[in-house]
Amino acid sequence: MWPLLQIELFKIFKRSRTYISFAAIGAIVALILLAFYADGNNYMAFGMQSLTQSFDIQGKVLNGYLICFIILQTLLIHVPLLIALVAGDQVAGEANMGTLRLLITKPVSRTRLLLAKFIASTLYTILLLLWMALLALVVSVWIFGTGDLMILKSTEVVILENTDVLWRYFAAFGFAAIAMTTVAALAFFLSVFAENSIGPIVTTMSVIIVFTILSTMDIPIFNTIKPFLFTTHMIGWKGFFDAPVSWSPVLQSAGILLLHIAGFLVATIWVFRKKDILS
Amino acid sequence: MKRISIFFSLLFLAFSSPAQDAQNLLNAVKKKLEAVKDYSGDATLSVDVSFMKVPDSKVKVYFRQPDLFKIIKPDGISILPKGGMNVSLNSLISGKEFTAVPGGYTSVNGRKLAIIKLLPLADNSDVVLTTLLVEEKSALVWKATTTTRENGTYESNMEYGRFSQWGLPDKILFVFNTSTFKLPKGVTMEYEGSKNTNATKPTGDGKGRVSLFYSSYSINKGLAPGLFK
Repeated sequence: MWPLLQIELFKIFKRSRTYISFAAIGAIVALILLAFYADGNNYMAFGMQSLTQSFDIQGKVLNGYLICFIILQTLLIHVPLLIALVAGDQVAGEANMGTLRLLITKPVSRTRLLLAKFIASTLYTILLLLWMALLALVVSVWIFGTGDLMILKSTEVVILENTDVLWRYFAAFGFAAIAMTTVAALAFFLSVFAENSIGPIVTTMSVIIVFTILSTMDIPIFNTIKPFLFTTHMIGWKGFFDAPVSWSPVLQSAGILLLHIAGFLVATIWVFRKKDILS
Repeated sequence: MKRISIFFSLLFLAFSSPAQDAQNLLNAVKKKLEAVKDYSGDATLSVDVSFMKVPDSKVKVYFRQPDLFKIIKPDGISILPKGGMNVSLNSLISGKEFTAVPGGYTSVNGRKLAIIKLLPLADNSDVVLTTLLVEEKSALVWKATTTTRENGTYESNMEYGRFSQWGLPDKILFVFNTSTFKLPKGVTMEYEGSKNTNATKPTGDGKGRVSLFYSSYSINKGLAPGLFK
């Protein structure tokens, strides 16, 4: 399995477009950090306007932990596209290049081949999130320092003590890894049906956009289907920033996402094993 | 003639004495409070507001005459209702002129307290009316209810102990109205799990409570005005 995985990782990281994702995240985080460094206090004053009308807030609200939360909130909506770029290309890309038929003539079972490709996609996903964590958390804290984390929600204001924040980020990034692997599993599954990678990438993003819109709209008819959409559970990382942590729904969401990953992977293997490879 | 003058003198005394007593009692309270030129205190701040989750925190409290007041949480965030200066009785009363109107007596926890209603003399004062419950013997204010133009009505309940000779409480419970406060609808996606957890919380009585438990005071040691900027 390890040689197979090495080959798949080599293929992913040999392609220059893989690094577009890292560059994109680097550029977005750098821009957000620059914006906060230059004009963060005005942004905060505007954002907290409703609260400061009634309350006096003293202390360093704008700190590295808050900026990391804002970056995560902003980026985790868009990162699925960057994941789909690689995961959606895993099988369809080979089909497009005409190497898929050659690949399966090798003395390796289709299941092992797919597992190697999926693990490689997952490792790419995790590396991308680690890169994001490094920039969003480490660099933000380095520039802006640490402090209590104040989160404004539509129903409450949560203040978390400085010493009680870091572990939540580790947990949140862990959860985000599960959420993004779900996206990778979906793109990987769709990749089996296509002859080029554009189809699975666009379809994955379309599914996520539609589901996200349904998850966001607070309309009764959609509220009944929300629990069944995996996008509803993908933002479960925010549950780690409740006080106390909403363990039960967070673990339930993580479980649902893991079930999706397993479901997509089993379906991918099942379809691919039966597929007549013509390309 | 003599009888008439005695009658009017008694009548004057009957109407003027309570007001005079209230003013004297207020003066006694002010004298005690104004003996504290400045203080810094170490305290534990507890915030109990239905829509806020704020952990109890160690804070530094600073006061400087006449009404400079600040609560700072070192390396952290402290949150207080607007008009939070009224948490400090010194800020509320020291250096300000009031007309004191007597309001009789009441009993709180077996303690007989005089009611004084304070009407500020300054036209531009944010405070409209303050009602104090004062123990006459010690000139300690045990409860203050303040109605302001901008920030509604506040209630401060004091408990005294080690620093009562300075008129400084060991504990203050500050109660304010939160029923009119609305958080704006978030523009970002909110996690359904958190929403469901919050939906099970009791909504509260429309009041917010902030408690300050002082562990120590440092009185009249001098504080720079820049500290309050």
